Amino acid sequence: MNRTKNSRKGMGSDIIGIAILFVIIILALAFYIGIKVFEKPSAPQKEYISSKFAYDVIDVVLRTNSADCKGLSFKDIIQDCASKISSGGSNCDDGKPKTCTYAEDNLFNILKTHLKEKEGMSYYFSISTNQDDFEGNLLTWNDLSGTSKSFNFNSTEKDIPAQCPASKRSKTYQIPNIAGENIYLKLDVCV
Amino acid sequence: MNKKKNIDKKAQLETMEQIIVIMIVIIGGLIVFGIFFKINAGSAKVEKLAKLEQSAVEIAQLVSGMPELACTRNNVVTANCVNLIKAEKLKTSDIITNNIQYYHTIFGFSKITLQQVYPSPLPPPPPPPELVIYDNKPEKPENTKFTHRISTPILIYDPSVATSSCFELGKGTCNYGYLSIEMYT
Repeated sequence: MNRTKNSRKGMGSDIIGIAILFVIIILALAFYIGIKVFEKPSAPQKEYISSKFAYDVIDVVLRTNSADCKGLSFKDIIQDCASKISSGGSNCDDGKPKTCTYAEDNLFNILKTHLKEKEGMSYYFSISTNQDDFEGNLLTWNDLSGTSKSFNFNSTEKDIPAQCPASKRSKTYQIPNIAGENIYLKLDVCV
Repeated sequence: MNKKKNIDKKAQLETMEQIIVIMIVIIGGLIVFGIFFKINAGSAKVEKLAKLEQSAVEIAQLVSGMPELACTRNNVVTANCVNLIKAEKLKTSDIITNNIQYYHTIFGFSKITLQQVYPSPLPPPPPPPELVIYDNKPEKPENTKFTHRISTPILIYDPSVATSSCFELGKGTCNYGYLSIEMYT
């Protein structure tokens, strides 16, 4: 009777030992998994996007020659538009819209083709003469009356939200206006 | 006799108990080892991918600075620009094939493609024209796959179009495109 009791006692302590061992192993495992999960792997592409990609896109776009607006670069076209925004800018080639609409249509297509269609990136692109105000009408020029002289391009028709839903990598590029003011171009690449 | 039977039974029970404990410990150990192994294999894969990404970014930054492709005027290199005539020459000539060892040390196993976005040729054509500048696959192509791709915007300078002027580069036209770097593994 006593022996059976002792044997049961021995079995009980064995089970407690195993349970303690398992608890220790599970705790160690949880600690290890926790470290591995919260350890952020280096992501050069994200760093590249944040540091250079958005800037390079604007830089290259501005130096691109238009196909049918007197061969002007997009920098010239935007400068022309900003200085004559009340009239919609100067005339482009015959049968083509004026510089403001020309820039809007073509920049929209370039960015859509490269960023959205080829890279699957959501983005938000805007141009303004006021560095602190990039808001406004999202589908076309914000203000053609010339009062605030801010205008906006939007990357989207319907499918992309006007602003990045989560975090974004933003770069602002500055070019001088003909009148001596600055024009600010901002590209937010959603990540 | 009965006592001996009881002792035998008890010894049997104790042995069984020990076997069960050992089995549980072994199974637990195997599970733990499996989880550790899986996590380590996963993080090794992540590290390998990160290295590939890093290489792709470095290659993208190197390409437009190469004398074989760079846009220059008075020996000054223009940033983020590729000379289309040089790129076409590099593609059609055997320069890369004849010096594959040299280019391999720079670009490794990768595919570098130049793609024009604007202006798109008429009539609207998907896909837009692309120029494969470099394509070096590992020896066993059946096991080869792309694991990472990055793209960087690039100005495609075409000096053969003399009707317009492309900034500091002079006569010619500058088109919008991108360089696509795909890493083989």
